[in-house]
Amino acid sequence: MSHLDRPWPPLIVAAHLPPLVRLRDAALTLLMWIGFAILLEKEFIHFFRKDLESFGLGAIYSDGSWAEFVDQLLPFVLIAMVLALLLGFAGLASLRRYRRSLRVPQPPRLEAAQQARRAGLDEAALVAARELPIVIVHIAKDGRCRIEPPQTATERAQARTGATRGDGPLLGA
Amino acid sequence: MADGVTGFLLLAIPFFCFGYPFVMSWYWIVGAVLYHLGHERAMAPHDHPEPLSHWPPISILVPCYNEGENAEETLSTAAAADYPDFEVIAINDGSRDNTGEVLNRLTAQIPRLRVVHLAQNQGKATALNTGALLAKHELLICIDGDALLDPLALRWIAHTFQRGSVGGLAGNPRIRNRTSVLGRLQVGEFSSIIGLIRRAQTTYGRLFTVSGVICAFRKRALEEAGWWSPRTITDDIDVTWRVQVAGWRVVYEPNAIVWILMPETLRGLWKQRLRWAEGGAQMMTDFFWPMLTGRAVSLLPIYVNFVLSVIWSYVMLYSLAVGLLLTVGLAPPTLAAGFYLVPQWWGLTLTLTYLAQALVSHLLERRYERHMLRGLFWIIWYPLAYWMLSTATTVAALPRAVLRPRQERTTWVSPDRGLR
Repeated sequence: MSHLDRPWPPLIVAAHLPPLVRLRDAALTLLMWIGFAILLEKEFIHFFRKDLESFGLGAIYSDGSWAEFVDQLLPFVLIAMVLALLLGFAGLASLRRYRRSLRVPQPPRLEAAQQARRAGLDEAALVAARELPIVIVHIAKDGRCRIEPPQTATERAQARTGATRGDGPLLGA
Repeated sequence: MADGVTGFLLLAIPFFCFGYPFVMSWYWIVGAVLYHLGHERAMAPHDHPEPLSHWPPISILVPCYNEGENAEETLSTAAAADYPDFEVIAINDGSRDNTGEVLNRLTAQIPRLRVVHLAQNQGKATALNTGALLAKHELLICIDGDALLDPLALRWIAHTFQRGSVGGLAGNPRIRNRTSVLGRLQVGEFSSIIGLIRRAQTTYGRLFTVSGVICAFRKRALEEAGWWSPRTITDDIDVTWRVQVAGWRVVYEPNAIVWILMPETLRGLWKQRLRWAEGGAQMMTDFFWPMLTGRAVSLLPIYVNFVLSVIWSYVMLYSLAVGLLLTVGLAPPTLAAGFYLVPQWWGLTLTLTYLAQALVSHLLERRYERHMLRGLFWIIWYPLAYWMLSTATTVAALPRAVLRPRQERTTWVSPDRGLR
């Protein structure tokens, strides 16, 4: 999707990166995969021993035991399965709650008066400040706010450009 | 007796080192697949959200500190969102660069934009609280000063808040900068770890955290939760917990996408992850008492999981140290059982499990970003590099969080924003 006439999604892939660096990154990553595959060699032989033998590669020796591996893994698999089962039940409850929540009415919105009290402002001052395009807020240590319109001529000029918004007097407690 | 305890620990440590990530990995995979089947699969396509009879008005809050370079791009993108009724509020938190002038200039160019200058630097939490105070609307969306909001994110967020019990929402941050291996790795991480865990936690019904870079709240829920706290290291974790403790639901909305910049240097990544880990540790200490007294029973599994992840980091560090000593022939034989530096069956099983997790998550994420599967090539670094980074930051973060003065205000941290 294009957005604001720019490519979207707005990914950044630096074009100036030297080709050698790209090659190094790819080669190192490939080496990691190869290293991992080498570590898996014994497991690969265990798993595919019969197939390899059927291809006429002769008798292939393997010193591991799948049964032993499965035995050791089993407790963890059981714990994971129990947790997944519990999650399944929780998921069902969540789904039911989700369907019910579509019928829950919207909670009442937080009134400006309540917010103004918290900030030590009066409601009218807060509502007026919400109409200004630019404001400066001073916050005291006790959390009380004092809101001012822009100070400089430039800021005031910019504030006047707001179509429905004008300069306001000093606002706040 | 001592031998018995030592013997038990020598058995339990490798058991836990392997068992915790193995079990949780499958738990997350199952949870994410259940979320997909129960919610995601039935959703409309990302670029065609279903219409609502009434689109609720929304205020977008963008706290900015020294964002002179990014503000214009971020705010013009936010203001161009495809939504009928919204305002954008940029909060300049006493920036020391030209952010103030840039924002003032932009108010003349962007009719929906309002600017709030804080006379003194106060930190992100206070900036958000002040922005919320001056916001006209009940629904607040918070994005960072360098993040680009997807044009349809507001519609999806409005949909989610149609449910009266939802007090907060976690969006879906996606990485923009993909020049280096670190950048590409994080693309995979945000899908395979963060996205998958959020899906699983939404299936369970409780979230560990929203992402501060894209989240949404009702003012009513924030009021009941006590708003953003200026003394927390990661305001997003803290506010998520308090909103949920106050009885509201916080849910994941994968269609609420924002494009973000992430560190592409090890130093930048370390600093960022250390801060995240410190924030998690701070939550662990802050919510210990509510957990103990049963005030947040439904969050207990999430809390226990976090505590286990911290313990796991310390145990892994111990295990690696013993493995290293063993490799150089210095480990006493009594300590050596079960510890190896080169992955054995367990390490390989764990890596394969992680790769399965990455594959599932990338398949799920294809819905939001084409060509996701290409990123799987880079994912092999994750089990080595990122688990080590995560272990090290968690180990370093816990004492920092515990020893931090409890009333100390947090300050802005200007992150590394990758290679351009």
